[in-house]
Amino acid sequence: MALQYISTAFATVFQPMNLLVMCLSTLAGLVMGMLPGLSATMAIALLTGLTYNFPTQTAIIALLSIYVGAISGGCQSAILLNIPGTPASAATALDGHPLAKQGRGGLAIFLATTSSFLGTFLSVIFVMTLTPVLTKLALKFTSWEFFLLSIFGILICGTITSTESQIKGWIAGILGLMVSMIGLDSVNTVARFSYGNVNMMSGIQLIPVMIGLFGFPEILKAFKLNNDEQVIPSSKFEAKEGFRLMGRNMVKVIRSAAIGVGVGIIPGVGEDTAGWLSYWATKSLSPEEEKKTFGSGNPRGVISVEAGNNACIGGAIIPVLSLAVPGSAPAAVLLAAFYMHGYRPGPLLMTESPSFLYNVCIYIAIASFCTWLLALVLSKGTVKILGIPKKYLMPIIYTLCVIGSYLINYNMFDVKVMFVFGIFGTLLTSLHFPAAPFLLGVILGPMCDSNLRRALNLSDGSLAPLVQRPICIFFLVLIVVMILAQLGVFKKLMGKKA
Amino acid sequence: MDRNTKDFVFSFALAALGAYFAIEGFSIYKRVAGPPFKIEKLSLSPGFLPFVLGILLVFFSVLLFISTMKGEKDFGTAFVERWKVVGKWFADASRNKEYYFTIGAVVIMFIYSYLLLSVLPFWAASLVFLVGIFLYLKAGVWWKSIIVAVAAVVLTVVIFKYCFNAALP
Repeated sequence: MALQYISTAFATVFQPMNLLVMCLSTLAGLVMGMLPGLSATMAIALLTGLTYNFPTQTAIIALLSIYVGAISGGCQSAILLNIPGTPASAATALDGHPLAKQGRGGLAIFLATTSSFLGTFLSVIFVMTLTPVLTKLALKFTSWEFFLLSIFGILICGTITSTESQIKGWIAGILGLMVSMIGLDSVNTVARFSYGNVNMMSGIQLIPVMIGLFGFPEILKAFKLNNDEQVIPSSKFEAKEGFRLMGRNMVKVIRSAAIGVGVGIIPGVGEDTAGWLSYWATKSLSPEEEKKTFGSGNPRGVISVEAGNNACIGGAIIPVLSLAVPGSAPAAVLLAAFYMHGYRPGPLLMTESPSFLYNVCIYIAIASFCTWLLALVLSKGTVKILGIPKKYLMPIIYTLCVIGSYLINYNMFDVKVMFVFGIFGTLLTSLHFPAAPFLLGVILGPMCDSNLRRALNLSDGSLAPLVQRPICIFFLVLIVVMILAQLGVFKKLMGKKA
Repeated sequence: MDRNTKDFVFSFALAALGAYFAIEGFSIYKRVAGPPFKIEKLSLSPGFLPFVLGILLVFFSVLLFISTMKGEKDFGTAFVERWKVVGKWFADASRNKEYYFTIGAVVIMFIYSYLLLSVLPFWAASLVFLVGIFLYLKAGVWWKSIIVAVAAVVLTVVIFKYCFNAALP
């Protein structure tokens, strides 16, 4: 059966129109990923609104392609400009830019794009094998477990994405959950926080929130930028040397891909963390002598980061498909897009639309190859885009943000929502609150609320089942331990004992 | 303003928001306790989760506030000093041209999103917005700004309206 789905997916993707859409979306992703300030999340969020009128499969192909393209594209500006195009490529700049300074920018780009391709490709294997297993496990979940899973996802996302205090991450998650409370409740259709406004009664749409949250702060930032960054011209690719280096470092690629997938599966933790962890693993496992060369142009640094951050794509999609919980911020947007195009990811996915998993896998695999090819063939031309003044580019991007928000419901209210959440996103950024847990809160809010309400209705308002069901106890223990650990309770206890 | 002071101020705003949410959640419960819903238990009412979230937000805001006051020997003096820093920051900000410049750009974006798009068709509103903001940001010479704005609007309209068949605002 699986083979039949795979062959159908191949047939779909190789239809001329879908192939063209894939190439264009990949290229758009590469360009958006390359431009500092335009993240993969923003790219997908923008395209989600624009694909509203597309046939379903074409839309899914476009969205997955732009995701893969944007994550890969970030490396080019990191290498040539020392400014990562996306946070995912932040660690690439460490060794990529010194390589470019040494006149080996072409080799660095070749290694980065090839590792990106391999990382994504390997992650697809994980998606194919792990998703059905997780889906089967998730079938044992009832409303209580789904409620706790959503809480756990928001908490762990807040814990890992906070650069300072974890409390800030949790607060961001709570604020996101609060936003999701706006509108009619799912059980009794009672209006909450809508103040008699009909638009607010139908709830706050996810896509305008995402576009505002991630796009607006970057647009404002660009208004202050002095565009005096120096772009180092890309040299020859040194393909022979590149392939030789790739062959020698296959173990590192596989290890980084495994790290990327693992990080991706954790709710809300994105490609940037995967890139840094892969880099750290490669560096710390290298011989002492080689360790000193990291940060000054070691090709292994570039290879491991790019394999890791791109493998995170597959990793982040695994919980999206099996649990309807996004593994990263771009995956969160993708989840919303899947809903918009009529798919219901989650435990019932393999029963309701079993072909979807294989479609996603094949689309990602081919998109990654397409990205590799386009990145290498067109890189000389695409890097010129880095020279476009941001003060011209960003206002144009804002008009696209307006269109992206409007096309969801053909409602000007969503444009206003985008603007308001843009201001809110700017405030969050300036106060160093992570945006990812907030977004996860908005996404998981309805799941959290409806499951809690359903569960409480079944238990006549009693919370006792939370401590009577084994999976619930498991999640509760995880949540309590995580909170206590982050608040330093265990450290204090250990200190008292000592 | 340093991060600690920012967190100090924001913790108050968050606590106020949390308190509002908890109160509103409770009033939802009170509302649905009567007919036609007659939901008598708080845990069964649609106000339960907002109520809990509000309390949690207040709790974490207090923790955030405490973390900003960590290491301060004289709590009262430190508390007053923080507010003085905030006051000074506002005074400095009111003289900072960079802030005004950014606020000006936000105002232009607001006018475009809330007013222009409501009264003009997309192409006209976007053209006015782009030319206006390019000139405001001093992106380049005026004729270049107009050419870029016209090209961007034409390209956007052609792609979305004619290629994607999407209805623009």
